[in-house]
Amino acid sequence: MRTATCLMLAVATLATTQAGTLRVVTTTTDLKSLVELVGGDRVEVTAVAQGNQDPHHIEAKPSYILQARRADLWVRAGLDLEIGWEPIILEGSRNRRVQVGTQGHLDASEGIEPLNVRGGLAHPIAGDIHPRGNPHYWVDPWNGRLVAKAIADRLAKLAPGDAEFLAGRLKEFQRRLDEAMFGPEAVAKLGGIKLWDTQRGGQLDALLAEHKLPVGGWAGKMRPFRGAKIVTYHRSWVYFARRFALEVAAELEPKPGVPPSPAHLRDVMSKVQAGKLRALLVEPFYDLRAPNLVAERTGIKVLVVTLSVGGQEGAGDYLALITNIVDKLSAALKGDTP
Amino acid sequence: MSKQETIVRCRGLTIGYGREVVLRGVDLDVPRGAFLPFVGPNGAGKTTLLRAILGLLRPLDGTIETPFDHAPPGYVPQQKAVDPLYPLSAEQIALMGLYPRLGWWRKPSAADRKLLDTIFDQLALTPHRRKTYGELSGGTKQKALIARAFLSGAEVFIMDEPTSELDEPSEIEVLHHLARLSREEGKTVLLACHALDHVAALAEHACLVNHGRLRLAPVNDLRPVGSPIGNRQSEIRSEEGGT
Amino acid sequence: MFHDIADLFAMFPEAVIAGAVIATVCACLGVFVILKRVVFIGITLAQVAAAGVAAAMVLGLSPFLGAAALTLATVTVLAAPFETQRIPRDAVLGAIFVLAAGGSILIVAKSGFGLTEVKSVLYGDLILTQRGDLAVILATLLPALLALVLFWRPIVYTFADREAARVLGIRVFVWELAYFYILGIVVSAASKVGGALLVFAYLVVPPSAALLVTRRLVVAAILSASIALLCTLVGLYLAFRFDQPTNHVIAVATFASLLLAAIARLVASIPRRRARTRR
Repeated sequence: MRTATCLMLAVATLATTQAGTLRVVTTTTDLKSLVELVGGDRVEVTAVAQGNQDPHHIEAKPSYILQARRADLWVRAGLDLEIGWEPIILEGSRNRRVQVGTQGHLDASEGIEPLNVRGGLAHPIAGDIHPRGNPHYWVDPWNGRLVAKAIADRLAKLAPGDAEFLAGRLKEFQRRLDEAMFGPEAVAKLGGIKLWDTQRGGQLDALLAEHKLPVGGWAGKMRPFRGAKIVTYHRSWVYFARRFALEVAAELEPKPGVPPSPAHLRDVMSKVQAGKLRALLVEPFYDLRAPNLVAERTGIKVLVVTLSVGGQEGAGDYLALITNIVDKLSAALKGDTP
Repeated sequence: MSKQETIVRCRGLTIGYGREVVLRGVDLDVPRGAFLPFVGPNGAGKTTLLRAILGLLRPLDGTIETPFDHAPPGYVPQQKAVDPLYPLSAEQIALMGLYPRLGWWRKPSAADRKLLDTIFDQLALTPHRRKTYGELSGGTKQKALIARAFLSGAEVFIMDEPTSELDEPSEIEVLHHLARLSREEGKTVLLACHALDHVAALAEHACLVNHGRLRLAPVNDLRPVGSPIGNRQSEIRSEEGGT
Repeated sequence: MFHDIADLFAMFPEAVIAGAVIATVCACLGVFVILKRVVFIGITLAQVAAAGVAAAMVLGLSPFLGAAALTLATVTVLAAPFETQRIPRDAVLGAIFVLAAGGSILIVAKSGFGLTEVKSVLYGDLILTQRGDLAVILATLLPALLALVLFWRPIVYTFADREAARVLGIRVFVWELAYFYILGIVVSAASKVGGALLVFAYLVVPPSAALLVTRRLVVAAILSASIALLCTLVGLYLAFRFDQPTNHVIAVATFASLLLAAIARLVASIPRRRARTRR
């Protein structure tokens, strides 16, 4: 009798996921945007951390637990970004379908190549210490591409009936991303994958020159600033910097979460003046006093730019987020007011 | 009482705290130069009445007329009034009495300092003048508050059990000094005390405060009632006590 | 060492001056904070200022106006005489703190915006003082100190013996309110620059150290300001030299001063105790 009931429930659940929308909860708005771009009307997505919040520190609200309880899929950024609050929410939800290790739980970092891997243990009290790698990887558009694929694959596993639809959405997203990165002309002629492989190998210019194609898109906009040195508030720009060949010369926060000491401020200001660094990047949810003080002393431009979808006007979805960063940073480095 | 200028007038005065009435229907005319004790048991309303006269307590009914708006009295509260945590010396407490004249910025004059020295000598306070108020004994605290009142040079003194902590010689000396001020300088003295004892010889009249009423009567009409040690009370000898 | 001190002054002159002014003024006002037994008023007013910032952000008003309005409303409540009430002033302070702490988060929780500004009131950092901040500090705290010095007498009389002060013709409610308004403005302005922890430390610890050591109120105020100033300069230097967060080093330095004062008092009392024992 009990076996029959379980079987019926399983069939019913399967039927629901096959016929209806999948309820997805993501930890960040960037992941939410990627799920929406890939899943279309087959998914109903909510994000725990909003774009204007620091994702390291979220105050757990009852609504998060309710959302998790009803979810079919939980997507996290991983690399201990959510270590301070994800376990509380998942445990409180009592939703076995979305616990770590199940099909309903996706760690979006699993397919990417992390930077700043330190080793050791992470602990919620340590807050921003990420020994397994820097978790702010989604601002590298290549990682965005990888994560979108991982999401599409998982959604297809949960809703096999929508596999074809999801594959089509993924392909469309990848096309748009590739064109945004390299320009439509290059993508149309050479294809996105080849361009990415070449770019990651450092041979993009040569390839495009060979085919007499312009370097368009984000790559084109950031090309003049290759090698430029920037200062960041938090260590959240390393992936973006790697992709667009920028050098993060200094960080205002010497240890994540710990305010800068006088000596550290002095060192940063010396580096800025010596290296003639032009831009200081800071996310909107950080206190601007330290950046403004450095700017007052050194003349460096403070650029408040979000790394999260919805964290600023103009960053409405994942593609717009990267466009927003590229536009603001290139304007600042060129010398125009962003 | 003799018909002189009335310096404190109460008419139909009812006072209390919230809904609790302590004294009802008080009619009182205090002439200038009077030396008037207020006598009664604990909780009778002596302190309440003095506070009302000082303007510290709003009457529930009736009126009080005093000149204190433009001429503050010399006030001696019960010695618990000053916060002992404040590191103020006995001298600084006494100098408070000069505030109506000095305001917030003038310094005491040489004459003020000389008067302070004299008062401190009279009250045997000189050895204690630099000690903080909190360090003083109960009696010395009271003397500091009395010195404050004397230094003010006020025309009216209102004192709430000013000698309760003093030793007998000091008590007698203070009371005699007050009586002298009244008699020779025309100062008006209103003081609350538990019993007539040392005051009886110095005053012509006294106010008896008891059972929610006040009665003014000649001192000669009062008789101490024999009772266990520490519990002395007086009551009106005649049934018809009055002005 | 001198090279480090010179560097500190050269690189962070605003922080040094602002720190000196905040320390001096708060420590002077703090003598009365201790004596009036309202020790947690610094933290409470900083939290109220944060709630004011949160409310202003949501209503689209200037954060400074919001902070000032709520702070002044709170001090008006606190200026009432509590001696005849059923609960002490400290209890009311605690209740206001709870309301402000919870309320400020609730107000911004829905919108998400404004949390940085709210946090910056509470977690300000002295070393990050800029020219604009210093101008605000000088414009608010120096007049506040002048007012305290000028009106020292009626304020002290009001606090030490409120009833006698009233009888003497002192408008006690006006002076009580004046002190708390001065305190509210100082705490609002100083917390924004130095943070709530530092302001709380200045209001409580150096005055306590001074009151342990002296029996004179004026001396206590001057000594309190001097201790706070010394702790600030030493704290700034140590934070610079050993690469540590400034506010926290200064806060610990103030506690060290209290410890030293307690030891000094203990040592000074030994000859008196011995004399008593011999008798």
